[in-house]
Amino acid sequence: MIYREAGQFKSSYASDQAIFPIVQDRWVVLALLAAAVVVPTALGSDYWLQAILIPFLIYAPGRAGLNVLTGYAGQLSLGTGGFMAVGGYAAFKFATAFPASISSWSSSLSGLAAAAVGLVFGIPSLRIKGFYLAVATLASQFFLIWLFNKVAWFSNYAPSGTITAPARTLFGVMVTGPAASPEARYADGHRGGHGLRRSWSRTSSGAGWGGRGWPSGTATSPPRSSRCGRCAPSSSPSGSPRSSAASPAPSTCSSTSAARRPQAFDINLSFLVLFMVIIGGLGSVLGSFLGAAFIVMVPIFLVNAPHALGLHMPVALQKQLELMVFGGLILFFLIVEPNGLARLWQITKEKLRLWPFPH
Amino acid sequence: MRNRILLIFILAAAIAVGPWRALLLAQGNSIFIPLLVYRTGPYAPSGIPIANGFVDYFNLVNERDGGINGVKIAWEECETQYDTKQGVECYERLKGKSPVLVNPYSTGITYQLIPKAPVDKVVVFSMGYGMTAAADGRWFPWVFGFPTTYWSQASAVIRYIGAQEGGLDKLKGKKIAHIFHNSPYGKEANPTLEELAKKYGFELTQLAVDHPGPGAEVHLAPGAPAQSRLDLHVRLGRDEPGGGEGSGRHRLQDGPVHRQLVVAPTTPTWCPPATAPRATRAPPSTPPAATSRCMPRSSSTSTTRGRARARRKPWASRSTTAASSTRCSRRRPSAPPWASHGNKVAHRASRCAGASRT
Repeated sequence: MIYREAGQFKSSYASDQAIFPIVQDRWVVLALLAAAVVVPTALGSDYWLQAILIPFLIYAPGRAGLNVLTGYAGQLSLGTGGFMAVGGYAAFKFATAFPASISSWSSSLSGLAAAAVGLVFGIPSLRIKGFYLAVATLASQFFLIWLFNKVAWFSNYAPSGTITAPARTLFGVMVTGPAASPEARYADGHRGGHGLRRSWSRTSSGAGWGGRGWPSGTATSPPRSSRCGRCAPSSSPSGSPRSSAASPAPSTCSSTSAARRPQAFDINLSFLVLFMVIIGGLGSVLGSFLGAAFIVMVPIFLVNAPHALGLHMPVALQKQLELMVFGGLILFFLIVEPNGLARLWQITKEKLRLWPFPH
Repeated sequence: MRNRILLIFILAAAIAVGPWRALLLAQGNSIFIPLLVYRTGPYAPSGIPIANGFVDYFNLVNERDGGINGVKIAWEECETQYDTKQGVECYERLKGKSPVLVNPYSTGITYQLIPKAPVDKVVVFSMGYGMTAAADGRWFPWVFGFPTTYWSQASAVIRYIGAQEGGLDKLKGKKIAHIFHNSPYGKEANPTLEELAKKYGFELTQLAVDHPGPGAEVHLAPGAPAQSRLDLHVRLGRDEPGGGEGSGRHRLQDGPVHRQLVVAPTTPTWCPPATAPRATRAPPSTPPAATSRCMPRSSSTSTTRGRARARRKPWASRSTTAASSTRCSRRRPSAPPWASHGNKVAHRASRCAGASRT
């Protein structure tokens, strides 16, 4: 009843394969976009913005980037953290080494740097089929972190190797640095979210005319060439789109939350983003948001819930409970719906189509 | 979408209620200090006693003295797992309670908080850790590194080693290895050590140990410089991993290695502890000749002070130097270095350590 699709006819492939083919969905998305602008600035506290929404904005595009690779192209990557580090350090270098006119756009430019690095590590995937990219990206993960740790130039010779976003303005508003208001950082985070749009366009190209060979490679999978080899003519090696989409994430990350160090981008981060992809749902744009929201927000919710309920327990116990509940939830969702939260939402939608009628 | 909206509503409710409760608690006449602790995670073995110590002391002050000038101390713990991201989240959550100071107890978290401190008007108190440059109050009025910094600690250690050697000028040509946690905590002292190495002419080897640290085995990795001639371990910093246990002189730590200075045996006064070598499972009946390895190997090249300056010989690269100490010299010196094999040496080391403890 809520999702009544009657009368919504598609007359072109493009409209049929749109990300949101149903009118109601488009309205919901528009409403959410409006809410994303209005709600945090209107009633959000510092804590809301700093601890919840900005990390969410950091992870959502990173996860969307990996989604293009894992969800659509069917390749596994374990190097997301490393590519995010490239983005973060590139943003730092752009912001500190160039005049203000350029450095304001550091988070955008860093995407190009990460794309270039991703291209290099993506090359092997053009020739070899299967899990080879996982190995290549695993190597890149460790190599990149080692590089940023070892070469002091990347951190401008800081003794501790920590990078901090310098204060930069964009359109007259201070968006990075400690003096920037959380609201401005939040808005800047949205700018970082342009990787999202990029992955969006990738997705549509993958699902639309241009990149049709991309998802279909999953089905046919020719014996010799990898499926990413197939998409190479129409696009770049698989590493590139995903790493370019992943890179705004860390630049947002480094610019919005100040100091970072290489260890922040270790392989655990790669796993985290991979889990977001799996839990959110492979090959789904909505899954990007749901997965990131789940991984970022649920632990924070679990931290705050006992306090809100007036339960006072030792912090260690609380942390262990949080880990148990969080892990249990992941298992639960994967058992109930292996295709992720996006599929759960799809099922809900199908049910809502009939609701409140049984048939 | 509904899931998400529901989640957001629940979250909003939780967070809206949270600060109110906090306000109620923090009102009253008290000084609020947030405690960023790591009672779980890989560093919990050192984090738990530290956190307990803080709580005990605050309780003591409250019970014995009735607080500070009659004002009770209030605190709230927040679990960071020694993870910077979680630590910052803790700070964001607790800064609303107008803390009198924040003690991040992690250099990584401190680095994150330093730029925020002047904006939020919160005092960051990083005692003996954190950013060394922040000790200059002209530029960092909100950050206090009392009583020491990593750099002053590093120079104090080198001075101490120099004093043991009979003067800083004696450090020339000696080998010092710095085994450090590969994090801001571990790296911060490196520039000072490099500078001092240039100044006093000792040879500095920096060995990074990645999170969370593979344990004491790092010393036993074959080929690691100076590992077979450990003489002195000094750990810097009072914060974090194992910091509460005091300096681990002459002892290898059981837990993760965080920062140790290892000096070549210019003053061989001890033997490696029994716990150190991995190969202590050696047969219990070692030939007596073998035990003599605890003698400084090249006693013929001793200095006038009678202390052997064991020069590394190419044929004795690995095993023979494992235990060079005069303590055990009561054992009969014999057996050329090439007569020994790794296993025996390790055992010798353990026996020797037993002897030195008596």
